Amino acid sequence: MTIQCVIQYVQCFLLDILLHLAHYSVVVSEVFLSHEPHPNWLARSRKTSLSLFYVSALVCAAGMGLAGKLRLPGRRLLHALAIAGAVCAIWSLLRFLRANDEHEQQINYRALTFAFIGTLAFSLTIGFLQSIGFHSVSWLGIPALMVVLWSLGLILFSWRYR
Amino acid sequence: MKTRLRVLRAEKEWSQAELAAHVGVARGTINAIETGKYDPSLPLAFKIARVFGKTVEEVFLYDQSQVATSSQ
Repeated sequence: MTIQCVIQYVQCFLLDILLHLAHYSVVVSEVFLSHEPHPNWLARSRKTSLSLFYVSALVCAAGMGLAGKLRLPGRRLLHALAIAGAVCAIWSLLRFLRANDEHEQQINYRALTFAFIGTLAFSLTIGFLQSIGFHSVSWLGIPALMVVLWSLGLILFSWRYR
Repeated sequence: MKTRLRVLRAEKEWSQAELAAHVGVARGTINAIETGKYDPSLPLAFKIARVFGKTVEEVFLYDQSQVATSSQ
């Protein structure tokens, strides 16, 4: 009698676990295997990627800037930190670009064009000024300028096409 | 390009965010299409039309005069 009760209890317990597993697999498949990614998820992914990009770029810039002022052991560490920041920035930028829909891709394309043309114009101006005696400017300013112009382009074109 | 998106959306009592969720784009993209600041790609236009159970021509109206003006 007692053994039968134990067997029934175990059967009920196993059935309960199986039902829970089936329920969670349905929920998980609805969340992760749907045909369209949920826009809220996309928007969150965009924001996270963009924030990560700016933080990584800042870490990279700070690492490169401080590395010039320190002695050898600390300098190597800062260079490693700057490279890690640059890799993370590129990865998060690609992630950000992938999370965009077609309209946002168009805005991004225009912002990138704006950044490239702005940087080219700035580089040519600095080159010309250096040829007539202006003091030299660090090459590290170019990626920073591109990031600033790209951000400015994103704001401008988002506002224009809103 | 003119669009009947706002009317169709109002008929279904959907917000821009709800329509965006149905077609898998950002809310701002739906807003840009409605205000005529962005012409959607053909796949997106078909997607939007299918959501409303209409054809592309019933949702998006081809304006010949506007195209002629912009190409000049």
